[in-house]
Amino acid sequence: MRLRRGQKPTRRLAHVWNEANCTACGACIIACTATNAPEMMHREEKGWNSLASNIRRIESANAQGRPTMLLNQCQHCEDAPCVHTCPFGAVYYNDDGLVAIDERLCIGCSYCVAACPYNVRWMHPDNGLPKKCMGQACLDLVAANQQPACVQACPANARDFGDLNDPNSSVTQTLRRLPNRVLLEKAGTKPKYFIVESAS
Amino acid sequence: MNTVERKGMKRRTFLGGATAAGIGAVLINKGWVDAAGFFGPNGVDIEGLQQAGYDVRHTICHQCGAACGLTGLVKTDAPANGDNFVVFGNQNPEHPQRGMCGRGATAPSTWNSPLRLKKPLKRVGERGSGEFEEISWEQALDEVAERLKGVIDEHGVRSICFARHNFQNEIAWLTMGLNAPNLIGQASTCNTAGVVARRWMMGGAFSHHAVIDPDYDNCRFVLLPGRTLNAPIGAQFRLAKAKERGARVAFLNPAHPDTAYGDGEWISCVPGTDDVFMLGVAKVLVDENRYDENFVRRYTNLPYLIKADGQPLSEADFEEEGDENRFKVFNGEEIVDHDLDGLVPELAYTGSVTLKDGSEVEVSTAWNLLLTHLNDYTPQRAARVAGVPVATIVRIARTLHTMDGVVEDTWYNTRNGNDSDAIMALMTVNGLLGNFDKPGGMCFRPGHGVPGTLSRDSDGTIRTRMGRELALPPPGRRIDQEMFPETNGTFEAVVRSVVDGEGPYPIKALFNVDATLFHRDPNTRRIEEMLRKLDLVITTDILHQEICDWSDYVLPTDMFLERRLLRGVGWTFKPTAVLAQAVTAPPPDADVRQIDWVGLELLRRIYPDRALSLGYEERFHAHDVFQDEFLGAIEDRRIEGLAANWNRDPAQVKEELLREGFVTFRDIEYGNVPYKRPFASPSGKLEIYAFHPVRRGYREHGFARHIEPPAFTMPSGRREFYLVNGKSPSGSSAVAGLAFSTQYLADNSVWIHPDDAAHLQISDGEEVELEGLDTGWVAKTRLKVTHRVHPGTLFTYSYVGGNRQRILEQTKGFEGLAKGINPHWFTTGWIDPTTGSAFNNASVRIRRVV
Amino acid sequence: MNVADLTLQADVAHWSWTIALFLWFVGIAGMGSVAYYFSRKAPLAITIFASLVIGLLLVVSHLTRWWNLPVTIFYAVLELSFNFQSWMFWGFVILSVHLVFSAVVVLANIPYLQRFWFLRWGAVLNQSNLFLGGFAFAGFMATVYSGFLISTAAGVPLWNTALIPVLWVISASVATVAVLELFYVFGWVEEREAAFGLRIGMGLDVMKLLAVLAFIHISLTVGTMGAQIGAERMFSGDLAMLTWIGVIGIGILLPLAIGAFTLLFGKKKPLLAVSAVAALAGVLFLRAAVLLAGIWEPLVI
Repeated sequence: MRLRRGQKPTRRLAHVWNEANCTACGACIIACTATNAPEMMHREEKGWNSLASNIRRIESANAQGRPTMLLNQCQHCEDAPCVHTCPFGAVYYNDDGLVAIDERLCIGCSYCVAACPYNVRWMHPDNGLPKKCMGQACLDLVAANQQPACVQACPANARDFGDLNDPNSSVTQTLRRLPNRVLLEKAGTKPKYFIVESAS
Repeated sequence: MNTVERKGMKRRTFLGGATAAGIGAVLINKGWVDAAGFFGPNGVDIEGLQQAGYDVRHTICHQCGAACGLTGLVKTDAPANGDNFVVFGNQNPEHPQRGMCGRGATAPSTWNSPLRLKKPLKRVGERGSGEFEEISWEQALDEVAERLKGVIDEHGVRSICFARHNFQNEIAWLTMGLNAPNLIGQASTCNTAGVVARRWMMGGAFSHHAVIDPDYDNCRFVLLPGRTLNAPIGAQFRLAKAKERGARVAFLNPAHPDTAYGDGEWISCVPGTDDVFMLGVAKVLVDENRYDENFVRRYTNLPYLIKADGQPLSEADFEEEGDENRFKVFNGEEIVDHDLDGLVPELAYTGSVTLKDGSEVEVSTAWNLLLTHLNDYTPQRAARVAGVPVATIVRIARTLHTMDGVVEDTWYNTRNGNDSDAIMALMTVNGLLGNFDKPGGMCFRPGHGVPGTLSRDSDGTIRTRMGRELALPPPGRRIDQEMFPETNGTFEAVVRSVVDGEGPYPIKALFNVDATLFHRDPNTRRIEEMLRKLDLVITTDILHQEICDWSDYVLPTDMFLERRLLRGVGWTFKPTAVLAQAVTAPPPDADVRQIDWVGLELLRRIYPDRALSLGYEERFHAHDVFQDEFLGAIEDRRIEGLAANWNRDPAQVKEELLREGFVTFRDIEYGNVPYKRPFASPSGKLEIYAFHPVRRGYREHGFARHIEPPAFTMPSGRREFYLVNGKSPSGSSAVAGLAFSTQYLADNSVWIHPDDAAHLQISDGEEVELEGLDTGWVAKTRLKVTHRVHPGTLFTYSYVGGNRQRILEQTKGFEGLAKGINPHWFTTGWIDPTTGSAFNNASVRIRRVV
Repeated sequence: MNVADLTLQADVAHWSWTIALFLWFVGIAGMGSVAYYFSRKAPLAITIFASLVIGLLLVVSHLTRWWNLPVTIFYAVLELSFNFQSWMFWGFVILSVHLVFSAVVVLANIPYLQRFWFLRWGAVLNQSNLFLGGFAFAGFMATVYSGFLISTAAGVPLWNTALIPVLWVISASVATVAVLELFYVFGWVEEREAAFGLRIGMGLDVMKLLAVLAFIHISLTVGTMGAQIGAERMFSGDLAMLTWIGVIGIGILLPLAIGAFTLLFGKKKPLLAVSAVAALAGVLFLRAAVLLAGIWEPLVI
């Protein structure tokens, strides 16, 4: 359900990624493609020169030279620039607090691509849609009370997904218990992709 | 047990509820909305699902060799077109090795890969040309059988070598039926160093890498030298849970393992120095009195007396006909037999004894010798050699002691040619810590009780599980064991036989059983030379591997999603059997067969009577009848044996195997080895001073020691580097290495440290030439400048680059698999003469491309 | 490690030369409409209209779902899903109005069409200061919009500055003056207008130089890391040639030098032509340099 301006979502669904548990195996990345873009399993995503997945792996090193790895994806911001900039309202918040796209209203202007500080979208070569987490299949899974594909695929307990409005949800409890951060906090986008920094 | 708890309930499988949402993944994507209704908080209603046209089929992953538990959901009435099934990690938290990594996630794309072998192929061009014609199975089997028969008639059956990686049981119908001795596993570049070292220290029963492991569920601190823990993935899940309770993990490795991203400490070291690092740790433990003296005295052979010549003192030194395995120790008053009841021998003793020939020799306890030995391995020297800070060695030693930690015993460990010493050194540390068979310690897998399909009596008679017999003489020793008696599988013996004419007899034909020679065995140029010289090369495989281009016949085999398999589970301390079901049929255009069937079809063409003796009747010539009735009957019989071994009802065991995919027969039991059940070494103890290699004359003393990697020229100068490799959980395996996603998720560049890159003025992503210092092989590759590799060292993921099969040029989107390098272009093929172990690392020179 | 590598900028949005050309054409048409208020010449009217049409064709060609435009507009109207927060939505409105206005002006400037009585209202409107004021305003807004379009693309911090709309207006004015100079060279406008343009143009050139340098300086010194990396690329990195030679050398200094020469020694038509073409090219280079330099904020450092 599409939220109208000023309307509050009934749930605030959020992804949690525990970087301290993640072993960079890539299962979530492949599972995402297999679930949300199975037609792309043997096709290159040319914009990124990559597998057509809504999750992307970014390697780096910290100031001490220690290697670091980030799984980046749509943050389902509560103040999402892509929603602000989409001319015809194709990108919208749904009542689960997720940023979704109504493909009837999308002309493929790429404004949402350029507007996203997290640079998470890829353009589907067949239909020109700017794709990101969550894909339709995962949205359907969530609607059927299932976890998204990445959470189900993770073998290392590094991914979770749930409702921030529910004090008993596993994500709320994890975020209360363990140190965590969001990306580009200063961008003011109120992202809902939480990175947990410690396993215990 | 699940079964007990759910008795009387509607038949449900553990596929949802508390731990993960489970099988719902992709349901709706497939348009299987009607299936979703059968998923509830207590699991999945199997009958309901089946009535709706779906089936839950558990399986085990074979995208690498770890055999993790997966589950498939299948639409039973749909055609096998890829939309008829989904697979994901088995969701039952009781499963001891469940879960799917990036390699497992590629399974559906392997199933319908454009690189999938679909028809038997017959070579029409030169070997290596990759030019084939498609032929029928009948023609393929007739011609292959005739060619094999020709080789047997001319050179004897021992001149045929079967190379295998995982499928020794499946091909055994053929190898046993032919009475061929040479079924050689590709272990020498994988686990041989560790297997031999563990055998030397703990005995044959404790030598296998899947038998001894840290108890991840309860671990507090684990040091993993040269181990990434990318497989089995179940260990990752258990480790993640332990980390949530505060456990810590550290990796000792020249390259940063992906797993270390997960809050693991990475200790970056010079390649080939694990041994010296571990001995440095041992020195700290001893110097700071941080060892378990009780364990060391009771359960290691450090109190045993060693003569000046390095040999253990035994009864045979005093008595004619004396038992050489009755060792001597000092009990505080006198020298006594080691196996006296209640004896707790002294650690420190040096004296002299008079032997039966009247000579007087100096004897010392191994402990005393160890103290002297470790003087060469001060943390300062270890740090200098290994390129790590002294403080790190000291800290790790102290952490191992204070946190009750363990050192992982490794799996894929043949790196530099000095690897057996590395494993012996780490087991020395474990021995000093004494943390065995306790929660969080090094524990041992009990027998799972799954009976085999074929067995062989000492007189050579072959018996099948169905009670059939085939009387044949013993086939003799494998050629690799003739050349390297300690090995568990050294394929290089075949290369030497063919290329150099070495060994007791020539090998003339090679039969690769889903074995990827090029990414697995050293020195590609020699492999090519061998392939050119052989009379006959036959390969079975799922995908068009590089070896296929060099084969006279290529026979397409099925993949794990398409066949059943009953086996025990490794890397667990709970005895567990798994039954993998066929999730789906092969793709409609893939005329693929099971290896067992291929073997029996060849056998019946060569020796019809032998095939018949093994129970292979004419009606089984039809592949589906063979699978259902021939293998089905054997499976039932094996389940009966399994149930009998655990005093369980066979029907109940089978039902549980089908429902859950596995049966665990009992929980973990601590406190057995070595406390109640001794090790299988000559002394029955953990032999920190290994007696076997000393007695055989392989070594002057039985301790782990550091030697310079003898397998390749050491790099010197700023342009020369170690070239090391390791596995990516996103693609490093023979099968997953050819997955489409591997091109993107398992980086196929070569890593270089930023300091080295700066010195050579190389920028990130630059293409350079690598030249093997020993092999002279020159290859262009892209360099990635990263902190993930030790200075002076280059790293690349194994299996994900340097594929040269021609089909890649013709397969749109898969060209990237040809990029990067195959590390074995640069390895020499040196084999450790005592262990038979090969190695995977090499040295190269970097040249900038102008 | 090169921090720029961490931004993983991918050519996903394709916001490069196509969009630079679009912005350039919209700028010429936009500020051209302002100039038209003072210089109501047919060549200018046609230039405005043609620029707008070409610019719009370019932008439509860049849409990955251009075929979906009618469907989108249908549903957007039906469900009132227009996003008034989006500068691109306002861009559609402004450009549509501007296009209609410029069509009217072209219509009025083509004598052949004025034969038809039912088209003569165009000529009437073309003489109305109110209408032409509206046209000038629409053109000005179109230029401003083309700046805000990228200023509000929040993903690319280099662009997130109020200087861009200002810079766009100044540089589009430069382009318009150059167009008028070219017309003078071709003999389509009188010397008086061109001479006026010359002085204005030199003033604008100086302002543009200041604005470009300010843009780079501000981004380099107080911008976020993403803005700094982008500005570095313009200042000393892979886009430095485009910036220093294209934008500043050809686009600003050369026209300034020729302008000074002209003021001292009198008009030379070939020199004026060179100056005008250089100024026009410089305006295009400026848009391209800014677009190409835009990278995403590094997520990890």
